[in-house]
This record gives sequence, structure tokens and C-alpha cells, in this order.
Amino acid sequence: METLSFMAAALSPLNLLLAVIGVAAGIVIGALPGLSATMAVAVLVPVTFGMPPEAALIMLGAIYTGAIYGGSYAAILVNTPGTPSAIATTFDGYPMAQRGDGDLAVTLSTLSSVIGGLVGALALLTLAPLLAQIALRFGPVEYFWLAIFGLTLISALSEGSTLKGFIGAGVGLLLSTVGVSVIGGDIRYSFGSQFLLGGIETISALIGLYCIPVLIDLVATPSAHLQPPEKGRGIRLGEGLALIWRGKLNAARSAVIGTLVAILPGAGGSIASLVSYSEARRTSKRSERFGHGEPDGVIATETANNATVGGGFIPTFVLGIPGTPPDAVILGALLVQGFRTGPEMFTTNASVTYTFIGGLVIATLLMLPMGLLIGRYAFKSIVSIPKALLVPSIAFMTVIGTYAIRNNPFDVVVMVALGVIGWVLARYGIKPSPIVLGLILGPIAEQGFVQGYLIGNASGSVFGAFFGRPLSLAIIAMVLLSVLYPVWRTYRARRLPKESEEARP
Amino acid sequence: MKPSIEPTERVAARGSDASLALVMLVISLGALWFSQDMSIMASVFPRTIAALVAAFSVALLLRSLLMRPTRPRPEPGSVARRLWLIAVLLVWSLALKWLGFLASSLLSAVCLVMLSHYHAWTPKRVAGYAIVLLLIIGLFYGLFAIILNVPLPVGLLWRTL
Repeated sequence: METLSFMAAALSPLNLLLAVIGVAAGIVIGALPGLSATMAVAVLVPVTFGMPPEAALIMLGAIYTGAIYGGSYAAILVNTPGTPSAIATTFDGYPMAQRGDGDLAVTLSTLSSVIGGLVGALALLTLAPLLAQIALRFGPVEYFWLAIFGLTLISALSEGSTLKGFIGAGVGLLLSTVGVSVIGGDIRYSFGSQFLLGGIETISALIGLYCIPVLIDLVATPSAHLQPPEKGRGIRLGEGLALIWRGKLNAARSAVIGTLVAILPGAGGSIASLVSYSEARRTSKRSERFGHGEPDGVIATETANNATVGGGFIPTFVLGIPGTPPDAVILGALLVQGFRTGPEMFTTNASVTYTFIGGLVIATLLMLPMGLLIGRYAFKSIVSIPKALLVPSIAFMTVIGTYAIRNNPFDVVVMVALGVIGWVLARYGIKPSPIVLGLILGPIAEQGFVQGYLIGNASGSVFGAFFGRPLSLAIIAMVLLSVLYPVWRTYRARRLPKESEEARP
Repeated sequence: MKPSIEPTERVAARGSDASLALVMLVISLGALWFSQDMSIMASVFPRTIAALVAAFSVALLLRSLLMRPTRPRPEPGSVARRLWLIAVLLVWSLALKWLGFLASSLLSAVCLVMLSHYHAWTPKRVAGYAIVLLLIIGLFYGLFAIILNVPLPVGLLWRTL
């Protein structure tokens, strides 16, 4: 009862106002390529210093949840994930928009994000201490295998040849090693350039690899960027709800996956949405439609990435280990407010924690009307903008967004160069998703790999360090499944027509 | 709403796959070569990845030689406009430091409008596009430079004048 009264405190006019402002700011920032959820939260942290702790946390949580959802707009409408969590949303969201169903894709993304956000918040409310213990069982080797799992998933899932997907992931991993090494502090592959000492900035690479190829192909033909929608369709809420109802198991499974992946510090929304996309595709009766505008693909990724918001707070609050990068910023804000993370967050400081969870639920619910409203106009605007204005607008956003990350003009040069390379590679069959995920997961994989290697050397068996723990073996089994399943599916698809021909009298 | 899958037209990919494999092989061997001066802790990961990329590249090369791989037909369109766009973006990114954010963005935006416009120009259209572009640039400049306090480059050239 006390918990409910703490949660109800989130309904005060000030908290509601802050949640509305936070969600709106988050959606706008998340939708702009280059401005990630982490940046959205980080930029607005100082604003919260003078606020009461509950109000500050509610605003930050609202910005975070809005930004993760906002990332889907750019993914659906311009094939550029606004945040890394929305990478997998491009797989089906953009094809839907291309055929004139962008409005439906945005509605689905909104509904799915609300479901995911609510499940994540519910897990934070009820299972936090229990789930946090699972995160503690993950050592460096498990993190290495988890990163490899993410990479094999995207290599197998991205359109085209799996072999080329692996090469793309390898290129991304190699790019992640440029600059000062994670362990050892050596300078690698900088070729004497002081600009490369800091490495290749992930978000710049993401913007370049996704946005620049879109721009290059946009100017090449006079045809429309997206199919214009039929008139008078509104927000297509009825269709969206029917599709969500049809994919209810998919949504529930993706929300659980998103929550569980988020409790692993560092794994983040990109892995969560990929794992759920892979599962949705594996279990779907329409698996051949995935990658060609299948609504279940959008439902899976958007449910999972918003579930990571609540899920990521579990290790942050219980263990003081941030689940995702924005959680790290919010953890800093908590410390500034004078709170210590740990079990006392749910005992001594229960009023603040539960009011925050209540605020997170409210912010998630607010996403529904706000998202549907903003989404409707976003799609209509993007479709009706003439190409001659759309191209400079997107180019402008990519340049200013990239520059703003580190205030470094060299990042813009790297972004454009990577974009051109990405366009050439895409023509040869290597898609941007494996490269970007390689860059994102590279540092996690390297840290786990080198630490595992050192542990193995010290204990006398490198093999044992990587293959000797049950949790590692479980993840390795998933890696093998993700690699072999597409091979088996292709074999089966080839075999079935032959069998049916043979069976014909 | 019934999603339909358009059959993608495919073209032979033996030559392109083989050249891609060779380029990737060179990159991975280069990564191995340049890792020689690194400490064991710093080099173990890039070496492993480079070796894997090399192995995958050899597999791709063999596949391109032994099988008849295909790939989706690349998007058609004007090569000249694509190359001009790449040139404009590269010059824009390099000019940021010298011309500053506003001047380089305005010039590049004008070039990009001309590159992506396929219809006849009318005075009304020119005025309309100019107003919208100025509004977009102003809006983003306000958001980043004023609200988010991002120090956008003012341009070394203007400082020397």
C-alpha cells in the first residue's frame, strides 16, 4: 500500500509537467541522428540539479524513455537509426515506409514502445533485487561471448550473404580498435594522426554509414523518397492495435528479452532489439517477410529497446552498476542528489525510488498520445518535403549532429568518408548494420577477450577460460544457433520444393 | 494491409565478390602487419579479428571462384550526381574549420538543392526553397549553438580577415 502511495506521488502537477517536457524533449532529440539518448540525458542533467530528487529523476527517466522511442522515427522514415537501439528497426520499418505504410510503422513503434516500457518498469518494480543477482554472474568472458552473439545475430540477420555479414562485423571490430587500446594503452592504427588517437566515434560512424548512402541514392533519381500514403487514413490506430494483438506473444517475448538483456551492464538496447528481432523472425510463420516490411519486426525491436529503459535501472539501483550508458549519467545525477545506490534504494529511499518508477510508468503512458501525434505529422512531413529540400536537410542534420558529439570537425570528415565507404560496400553486399554493431560492441568484446585471455594464461588454460563455464557455454550454444539456423533454413527452403515435386503423382 | 515481397532482380557477382574478397584480404593483412609494434595485450584482439577477416575473405574468394554467386542489382541512377554529392559533402566537411559552420553550410546547402532538383526552376520555387533552407539552418543553429551551447566553428578564414 505504501508503495502505491509513493508511486501516486508521481501524479503531482509538477511531476506530470516534467514528464511531459521530458518525453517531448526526448522524442525530438532521439529522432535526430547524432543526438543519442545518452546525450539527451547528459545535456539536461544540470537542469535537474535544483529540483527535488523525485522530480529530477522523473524528468531524466522521461527524457531517456522518449529518446529511445524517438530513435525509431529516423529509422523508419529515413533509414537512419536515431539511436543505436533502433538499428534493427530499420530492417522492416524503412521498407514499410517505402511502400507507403510509414504511418502504420510509426503507430506500431509507438504502441510497442509503450508495451516494452511498461514491462521494463514493472520488472523494476517487482523483480529488481532478484534480477540484479543474474547480472553479477556475468564475467568478462561471458561479456565477450555476448558481444560475439550480437555480432553473429546481425551478420546472419542482415540482408544478403552471411559470409559478407561476418566480414562486415570484422571490419567494424577492426575500426573499433583504432586509437588508444582499451587494455594496455597502446596507440593503434592511428598512423601518426592525432585526430585518430581518440578512435572512431561510434555515433559519427553510425550516422555516416546509414545516412550518407541514403543521400547518395536520393540524388541519383528524380523518383519520390517514400510512397505517399493514401489520403484520410489518420494514424491507423485500429490497424496497429490489431497487428499488436496478432503479435501479442512476439511483443511479450520481446519485452522480456529487452528487460533481461538490459540488466547486463553494457549490453544495451542494440543487442536487446537484435535478439528479439531474431527470435521474432525465427518463430514467425511469415519469417520470409522479415526484412521486407514485416510489422512483427518493428513490434519486436521497438518493444525490446524500450523495455531496456526499466531493465537497465535494475543493476543501476540495486548494484550501482549502470545497465546502459544513459543509466550511467542518471547514476551520476543520483549521486549529485546525495543518494547511494544499493538495497537502501528500496528501503530507506523507497519514497524516491517508487515515485520515480511511478513517473517512469506515467512517462511511458504519455508516449502514446504524444508519439501518435508527433508520428503522424513526422511521416506526412517527410513524405511531402520535396527531394531538393529533404537532401540538404538530412545532410545538414548529419553534419551538425556529428560535429556536436565531440565539437571536432575531423569527426565530420570521418563520418563522410565512412559513409562513402559504406555506400560502396553496400553495393558489394556488405550492409552497414554489422559494421556499426562491430564498432559498438568492439570495446566490450575486446575487454572481455583480453581479460579472459589473461585469466586463462594465469590459470594455465586459455581454452578453459573461454569454454569452461556453463554460462559461457550457453551463450556459445546461442552463437552457434544464430549462425547455423539461417544455413538450415536455406537448406530446408531448397529441399521442400524438391520434395513436393517428388511427391506429386 | 498486405505486405508484399517484390522479387529483387539479381546480377552475377563473381567479379565483384572476388574483388571485395581481395580488398578485405589486403585490409586484414595490413591490420596484422601494423600490429607488429603493439604490446601483446593491445595486439591480441586486433590480430585475432584480422585473422578471422582474412579467413572469411579467402572463403568468399573461393566461393566466388567455385560457385556462381549473385547479388541484388544496384540502385540505378545518375553516377555524376552521386559523385558530385560525395564531393560536396567532402568539401563541406573539410571547409567547416576554415569557412565556419554558417558559411560552409549555406554554400553546401545551395549545391545540394541544385543537385537533387530535377524540375524547372521558377522564381517562386527559388524563393520558397531559399526561405525554407534559411529557416532550417537557423532552427538547427539556434538549437545547437544557443540552447545546447555547442561551440560551432566560426571559421579560421574570418578570423584572419
